Amino acid sequence: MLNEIAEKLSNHPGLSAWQIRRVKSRSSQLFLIAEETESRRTVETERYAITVFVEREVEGKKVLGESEFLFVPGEDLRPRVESAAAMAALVANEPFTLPIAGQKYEVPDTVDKEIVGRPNVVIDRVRDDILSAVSDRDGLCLSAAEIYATHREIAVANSLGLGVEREETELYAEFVLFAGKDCDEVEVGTSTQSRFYETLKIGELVSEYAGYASDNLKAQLPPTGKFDVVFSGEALDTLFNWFISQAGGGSKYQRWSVFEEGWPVIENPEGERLTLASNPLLPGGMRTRAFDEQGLSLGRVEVIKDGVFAARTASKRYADYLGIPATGDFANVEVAPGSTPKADLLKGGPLLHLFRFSTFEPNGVSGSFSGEIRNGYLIENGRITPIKGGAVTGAMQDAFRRAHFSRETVQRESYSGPACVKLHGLDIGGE
Amino acid sequence: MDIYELKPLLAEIVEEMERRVQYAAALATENRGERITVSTREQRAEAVDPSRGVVFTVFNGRHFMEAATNDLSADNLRRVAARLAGDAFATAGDTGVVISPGDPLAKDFAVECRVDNEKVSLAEKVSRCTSLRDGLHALDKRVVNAVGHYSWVRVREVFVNRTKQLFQDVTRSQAVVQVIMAEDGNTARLHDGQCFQGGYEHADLPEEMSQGMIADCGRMIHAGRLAPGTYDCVFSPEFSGIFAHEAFGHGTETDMFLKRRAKGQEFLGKQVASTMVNMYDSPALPGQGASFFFDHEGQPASETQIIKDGILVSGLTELNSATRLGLKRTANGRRESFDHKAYARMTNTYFGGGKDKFEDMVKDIKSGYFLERPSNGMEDPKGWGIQLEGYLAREIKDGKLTDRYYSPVIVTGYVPDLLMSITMVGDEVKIAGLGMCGKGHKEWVKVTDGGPYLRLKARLG
Repeated sequence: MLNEIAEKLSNHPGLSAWQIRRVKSRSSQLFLIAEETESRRTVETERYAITVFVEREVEGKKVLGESEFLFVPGEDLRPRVESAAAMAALVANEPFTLPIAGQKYEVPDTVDKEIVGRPNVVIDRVRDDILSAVSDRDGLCLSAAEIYATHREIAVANSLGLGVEREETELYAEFVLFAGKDCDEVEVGTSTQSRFYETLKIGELVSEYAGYASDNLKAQLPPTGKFDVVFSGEALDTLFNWFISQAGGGSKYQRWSVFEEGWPVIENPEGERLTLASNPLLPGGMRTRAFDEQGLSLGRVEVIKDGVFAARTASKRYADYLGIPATGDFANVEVAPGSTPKADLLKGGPLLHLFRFSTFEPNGVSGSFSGEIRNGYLIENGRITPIKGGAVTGAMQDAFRRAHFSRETVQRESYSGPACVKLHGLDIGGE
Repeated sequence: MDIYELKPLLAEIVEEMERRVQYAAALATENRGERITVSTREQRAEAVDPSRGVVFTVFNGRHFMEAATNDLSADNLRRVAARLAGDAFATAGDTGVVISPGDPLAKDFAVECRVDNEKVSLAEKVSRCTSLRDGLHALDKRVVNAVGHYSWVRVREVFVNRTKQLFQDVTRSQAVVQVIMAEDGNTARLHDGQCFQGGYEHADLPEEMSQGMIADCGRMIHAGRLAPGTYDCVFSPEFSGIFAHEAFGHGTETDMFLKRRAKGQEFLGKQVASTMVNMYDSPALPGQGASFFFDHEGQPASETQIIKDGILVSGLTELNSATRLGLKRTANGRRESFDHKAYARMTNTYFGGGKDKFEDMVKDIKSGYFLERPSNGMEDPKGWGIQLEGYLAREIKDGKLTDRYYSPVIVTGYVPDLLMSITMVGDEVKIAGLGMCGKGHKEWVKVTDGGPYLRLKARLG
């Protein structure tokens, strides 16, 4: 089918270029309420995302229009292409070129063969792991869980002769636990993804969250004021979002990036300097892949080195616009560890150690952040008090002025880096 | 094949499946539309992700099973359905649970569009977005990136079970403006817009909307940081809306009752808010962005009053939880798309109006804040915690609004405390149409929310 579509696009008059991205997906899904099955589902889809490009001249200047549409086998392709070409002809952007054929690709391992061949066996095993981990602990119950095992086959082809394929598997598990008297006082939950069953480690995750549930039985509101805050756990997944947004080619092209190559990313830093990389080849990373959405070959890019902005990540489009190397968008987040042992970062006080929020998404444009605390500790003179509720607020540009990174590292779904990051003097709204 | 024409085939397949299972249903969905974005340096025009597929649902006496596919050929649909029915039969049991297909109904529904999007040229739409963008730049030199956006989506759905054959053709159209402004090394981003059922007649944005957005974004650039604490507040209608959505929207989705995750379950029939408070969810609200004629499980749309005079009176159900809990069904069984499961989801959720005026609410406050421009919210249905985030808080001092602004602002707290602290309810309800809602962090569906101005006490950070 892909070759058929490619041939029709090649023969369609008026197109300057085209790209096809095919995703064939098969997913087996299990939904639990407590230990009982609520629902079992299978989903099979095959979709083609087709982008057509039309180059023309406007007031003596070359411009490029593009339009993307999703095509499903069985539809009539011609009218869809004509409609997309008409749309593209009305759009006038700076021209750029698609990735070419003949690139060298690294091929990271992204497929768990058992998920491909026996997805229901794998999801049943994950279910059993969850139930077993829950039954191992007194006073802990399962409210609900969802488990998906998905296999995708992805292919990209374009008018420059590029043709690449890859596969990936994805195991997704989500659970909610109860703890306390009659298993009914507090709840905690999370979701996790992995390419492989072996790295999902769902039993360990259940144990970790059982600990959080237990903490919440005795948690208090944090005090109000300015505190040093150590971030770990879930908070690490989004803590660096502002840096990632500012380092992107899109933000530079759209004129809202404040990062300049060769300049510090934080003014007057007093703590440890940040070293941040985009790594699309991190073993087991959820953003690990050989090529991006356009078939561009991917490799590691050091974006910030010792606090200085070193290189932008950019898709082929923005790379062409800015005249910089094309790297693809930011992949797995890799942060260099610091020199301080984690235990030392957590000494003294009063300070807060926060690891779960309702939501924690630093604004990519302004750098401001806020998050309601779902799990954390107040640490003061050796005393550790579980806290919950209240919120931490701040701005990344200020918060990272005094930052310290632990020596110990951790790998999460799309993150590899310090297990703890300490930021000084953040506002806490609590009691 | 047009999905409308699938009706007889799906009816035949459902009947065939019910030779082997207690209950069967089929939902066919198709989306199409356009999305046009003109920003300062880029333009995009593309077809809205056309999702087109069928999901078959069966109940095997113990639990539901589903199979979804986007291959709509008759052979494939029969094959997928037969395999599903076979799997269900092989795992069948009898738990005494019986799924009711509902009252018989065979009807086609459609939203009227005064100006059909498909008859308006793309050139005109691009030109309109370009004007929006240029207008934003003209309003303020600090605008570094401006966006004019128009999109529309036409959703066509067929639902078939033993007693129902339903079809709906629902179009909604959305116009949005956004700016990023920069000054003295600070940047801020803000957007505004509207979304309604209907066609291109909704592409016009009032001039005051862009002007107000630019003015507020300018305030955000240099806004101060609010000292955390508990304050007397006035919520704008938009802020009230997100409060309604997070406080007693998610907390009353009855699939959460089944999972014992909603504290609201213990409080049905009890006082949870000030007696001034009434709250509703309605997919039957005419013209609103999250309205429809029947949900994804075939339940006809109708209004649900969630809170009446401060008393929690009803939850929002989908088929599974309504059946197992013996609750009256409401039209809230919704899927993100055919390849996602149905959950109990909100639609248009809003506080009812009262008798008070905004000016009187402000006059009533010695020291507090007026909260507007909500950005995000998160629920904790079990603990009844809430987090609301907004872009702007304006100081109220000695009964007057001052020129001091703070950004961002976060409201956290315990839902009953917030609801019980409401002492004044505005007399005019406004619905904000741009929202989307996730269940946790996935399963995205179109929602709107709204309410009147509210005067209450809240913990801010």
